[in-house]
Amino acid sequence: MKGEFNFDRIVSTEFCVSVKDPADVETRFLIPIDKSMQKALRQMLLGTVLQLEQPEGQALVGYEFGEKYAAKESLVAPLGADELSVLRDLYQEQNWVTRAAVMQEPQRITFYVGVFHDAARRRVFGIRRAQSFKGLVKRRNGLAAMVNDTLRLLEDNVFKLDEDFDFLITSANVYVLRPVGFELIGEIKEAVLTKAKERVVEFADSIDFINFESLAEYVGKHPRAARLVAALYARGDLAHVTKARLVKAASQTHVGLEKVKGKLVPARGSELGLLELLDHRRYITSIKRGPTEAFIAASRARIPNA
Amino acid sequence: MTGGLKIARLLMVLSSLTPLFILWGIRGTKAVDDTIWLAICAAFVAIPNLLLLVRWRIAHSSNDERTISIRTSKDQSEHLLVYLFAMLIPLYDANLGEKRDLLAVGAAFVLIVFLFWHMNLHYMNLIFAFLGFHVFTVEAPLTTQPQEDRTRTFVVLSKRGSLAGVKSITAVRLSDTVYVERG
Repeated sequence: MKGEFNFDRIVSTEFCVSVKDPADVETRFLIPIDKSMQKALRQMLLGTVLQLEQPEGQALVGYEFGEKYAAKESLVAPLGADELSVLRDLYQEQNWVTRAAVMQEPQRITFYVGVFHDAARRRVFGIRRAQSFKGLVKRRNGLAAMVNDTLRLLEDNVFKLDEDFDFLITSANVYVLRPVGFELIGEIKEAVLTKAKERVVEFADSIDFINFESLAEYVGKHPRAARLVAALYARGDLAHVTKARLVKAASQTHVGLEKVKGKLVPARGSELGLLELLDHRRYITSIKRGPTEAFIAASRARIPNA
Repeated sequence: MTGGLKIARLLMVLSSLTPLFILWGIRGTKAVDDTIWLAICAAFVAIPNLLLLVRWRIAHSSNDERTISIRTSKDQSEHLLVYLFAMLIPLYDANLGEKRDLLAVGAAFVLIVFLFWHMNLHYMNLIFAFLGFHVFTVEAPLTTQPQEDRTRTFVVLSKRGSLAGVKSITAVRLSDTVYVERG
């Protein structure tokens, strides 16, 4: 991350909000800010970087579309990934129109962006959903401040900056602290669903003993399945799957398989199970006496080889 | 180019007419007592410029700035000449002898101020020129994509002789469309 931006030499700090119009179109507007806001945004950026940092020698974990994550993680995804086109387009924006007036309609603000330039004119965007940012607006009538030794109710809209960003975008990568914010703003679910149908059919190039066309309709309608397809596509190692081992593992983990015209297809109700199996999320353990038990892992991590 | 800071823009337009009020003050008019006329002209010189200076200082001290990525830039200094000859001199030359002449010139003046304000021509300011600033209009592309056609226009006041080859500048905001380069 530090090779992509010089966090110690930030030469300019800008602030944008993303506003949704009645037609559901989102547009970014530049909001003029003063020194104190610039300092606060830089602190947010550095706070985010500190939380993302890994111990010396450890790389950040790659974001996987099929994984279920905790509220806070330290993940990285390449900005060039097909599913991140919304964030790519966002990062390419510049020279926004200045419109302070949009702050008068805070209910339309969906997220805000800190735009930072370093001395080499590289940019990093820090992005955060605006829920708590505008959370005080409705409570305005309950906020008071000391003015000339007198406690007075605040008349203006009050906004609250958060302590860190949901994720950062550089020219090469997206660094994710809060996966939920990243997935909502990046419209990951929609991108994954759109690509799932065509991608699942491409798996036949790697595994010719499974009929993936039977899954195409299913993955186009089921977000969880679509995410598993995206994860499998990103892995690119399906060619190493063997038929005998797959059939055995399917039997052990209760994934129904049928043979149609010489190829395996998932039984009705086992479509998701087959994708989970291929993505190493169905497994058995045999550490105790008695029948082996099968499990599904919504979240799993590879243990590095010793 | 719509913009915020409406009052600031109006004051900048009035400030750009400073030479006119100085010349009118020197010239005087039979229609109005000299003391009153001088006071009016002095007010029109001092107040907008003072407020413009205040706006500039506030923008500087609060770091109200942005970075503008530039595709092309054009030196608009010739606009100042056009402004001088097409606007300032005819207004100065207008007959101020009688009260009705004064009213007519006043109406023309209000119309010109409105037009300059509405068309965001508030950067036509000889004071900036005296301070060594050149006026540039820059076309700023809306995305970093090389094939991007859409641009936004900004006015940049800079002490540089040319912005050719400059990819981006960081400038202080005088209004939403007029920026003054730092340094």
